[in-house]
Amino acid sequence: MASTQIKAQLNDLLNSMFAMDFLDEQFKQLQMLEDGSCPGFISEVITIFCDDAERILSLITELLSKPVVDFEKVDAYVHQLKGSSSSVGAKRVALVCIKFRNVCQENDKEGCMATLYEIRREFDELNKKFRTMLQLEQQIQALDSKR
Amino acid sequence: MADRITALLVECSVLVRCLYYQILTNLNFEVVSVQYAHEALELLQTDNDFDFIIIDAGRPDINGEVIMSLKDLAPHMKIIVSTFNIGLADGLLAAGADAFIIKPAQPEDIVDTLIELGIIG
Repeated sequence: MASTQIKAQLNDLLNSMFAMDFLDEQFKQLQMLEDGSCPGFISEVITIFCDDAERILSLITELLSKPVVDFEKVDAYVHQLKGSSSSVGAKRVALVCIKFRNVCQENDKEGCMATLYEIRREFDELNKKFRTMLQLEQQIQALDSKR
Repeated sequence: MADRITALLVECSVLVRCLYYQILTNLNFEVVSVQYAHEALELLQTDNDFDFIIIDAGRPDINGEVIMSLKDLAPHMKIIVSTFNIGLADGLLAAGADAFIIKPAQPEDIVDTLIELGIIG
């Protein structure tokens, strides 16, 4: 059955995300919070995280483009991103955020630019996988509802 | 029917607020959530009937004065500080907060804290 195959694809995707440290135990905790009374909870959380991360990364990019960088503001935004990535279980993004905060606290603009590039790369990869996850879930729901 | 336990949630991160809201409603609590400390203080002036508050310690607008104001407005309400950084909790505990939880808090962390505070049995 098509639904079974897509569920298998989704499981494979999730397993690989855990194996490659894109996600950690916190994401499993979120999965346990999703229940019959709130079936779209994971989708909602993922969407909020991705939108929020995009917003924060744009703000950080803007701050780092200025001739005089407000490292305190940059650090505050990175702190926010670390918080939300930890809360959703986005392990690799959270780890780069820690690195970013260290570089920020040294007022190292070049270091910040390099780390921003790294965090953008990690987030973009994670975002792609999340989108695939959500698409597969939508396909499963659509197929299951036709039964 | 016993009254439901009521919680006030103060958290600026949409994602963390969503997460905590889900945890608390799964525990069958009534939850009111706001983003900032001043919103919580305004709310408590007209409605202070909350069993506990979970408040984000990481924001600059959360300090000892805010904790003391919360105590004045709702003396019976237990104050739980939510933080990534235990160091931030120390000052707020000294100002009168009752407990802290480390973000991202799991349901069992919150339950254990509520049991310790005597809010649930």
